[in-house]
Amino acid sequence: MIMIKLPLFFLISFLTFAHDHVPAGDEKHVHAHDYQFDLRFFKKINSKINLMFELENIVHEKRNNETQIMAGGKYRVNSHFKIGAYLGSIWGMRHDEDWVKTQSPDWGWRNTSSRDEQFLVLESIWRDNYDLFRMFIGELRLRFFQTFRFDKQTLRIRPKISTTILKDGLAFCTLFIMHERYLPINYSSEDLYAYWTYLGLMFHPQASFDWGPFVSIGQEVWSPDDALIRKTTNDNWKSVEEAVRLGFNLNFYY
Amino acid sequence: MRFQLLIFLFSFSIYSANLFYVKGRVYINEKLSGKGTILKNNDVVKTDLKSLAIISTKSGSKIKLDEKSKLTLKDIDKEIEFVDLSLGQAFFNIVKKNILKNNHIKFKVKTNSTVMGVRGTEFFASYGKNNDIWMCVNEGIVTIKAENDSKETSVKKGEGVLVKNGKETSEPRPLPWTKNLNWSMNPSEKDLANKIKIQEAYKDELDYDYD
Repeated sequence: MIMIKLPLFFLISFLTFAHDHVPAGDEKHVHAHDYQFDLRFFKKINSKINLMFELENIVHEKRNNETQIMAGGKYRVNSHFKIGAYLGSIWGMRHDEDWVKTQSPDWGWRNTSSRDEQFLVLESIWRDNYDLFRMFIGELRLRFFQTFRFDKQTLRIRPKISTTILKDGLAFCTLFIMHERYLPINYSSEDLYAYWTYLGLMFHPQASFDWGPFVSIGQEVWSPDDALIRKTTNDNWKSVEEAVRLGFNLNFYY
Repeated sequence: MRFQLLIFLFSFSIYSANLFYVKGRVYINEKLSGKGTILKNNDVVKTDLKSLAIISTKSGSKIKLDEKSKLTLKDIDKEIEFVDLSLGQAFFNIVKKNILKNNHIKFKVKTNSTVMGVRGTEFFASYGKNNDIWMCVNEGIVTIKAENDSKETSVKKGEGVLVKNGKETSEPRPLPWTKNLNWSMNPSEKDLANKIKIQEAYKDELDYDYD
């Protein structure tokens, strides 16, 4: 019962943060409630290689939706360390370049929902057990994310901690909390492009599939670097979208 | 006469192993047996489905034999107590006085493919899939040597190992599933049965990818 109440408490707490904010000067703040769905298929080739296909859909309240597909795999270097590589396509991703002059006197965001772009992901994952008052798994994931249309490079750093709850001697569900920071490498005037904090559950009804809800709270910041300012607005600007996302994971294992 | 009989029974119980606790159906040499049954060398203890037995040795060490398990008492009246687990799983609680000061092994457990030497006090051993052996330590240190191992592996408190196909011992590391093993051997407690399914041991959480 406590295990059900705890996530609900966090969910309600997070939702209370999502109030509207007044835009000021050349800095605009938006608050949104979004929804995210992730479907993944894993195929274990052997004890070292695990392939993955992922479909992700984010329904944004205040901008066009994003859909992403990604395929690749992880290689287990040793019991604690994995590396991975993926190729993917994304539709609807917003960049600093999408802040454009509209027909009206104002500037506005370009609708990118039908624009596709390809990307490459290189990742490394380190995991270990921590025997505290119960057994926890600690994880640190680094992802290098390269998009090709606008040549954007981002480093994503994500520490995560999880613990599995057993029922009748078998894994019943895993509770996880993680925080991901997006560091722009070759764009933006900001040091941090986005961050997200997640709290979620993964239920393990069968060995072949897991499912679970999660809630995340975070923000994305669009703020052009000097080169882009000179090329477009000739003026510095910043747009921040703070959001609470309710999400759902569905994983299949083969 | 009654006093002499008591003395006789008392001295016998000191120098022998016995069935300290029984739940369900427990067989000694294929005969259904109950609590208090005296055990001797080469006796075979077998537990049925939803059954368990706790064996107390002459030194006071205890062995909790889980359901569908089989254990042979090889040498239980010698200085080095020696048992053979040939099926299922068992918990071992070896009393400290039974471990020599100079760190010599005083209790040995054999499986089909491994020999475990007890320098510590509390550990668990179980058969898995395809003759695999799982072993984890709750207190002290246990050494294990499998068929293809060139040397013994020392497993410390909080760590466990897998002996794949009974041949090679893995590197000792914490095994999350062992945190939920039922180590209790106290009959006054409600449930002494182990609730962890051995399938759980095969989920390597460090290898589990969710995204």
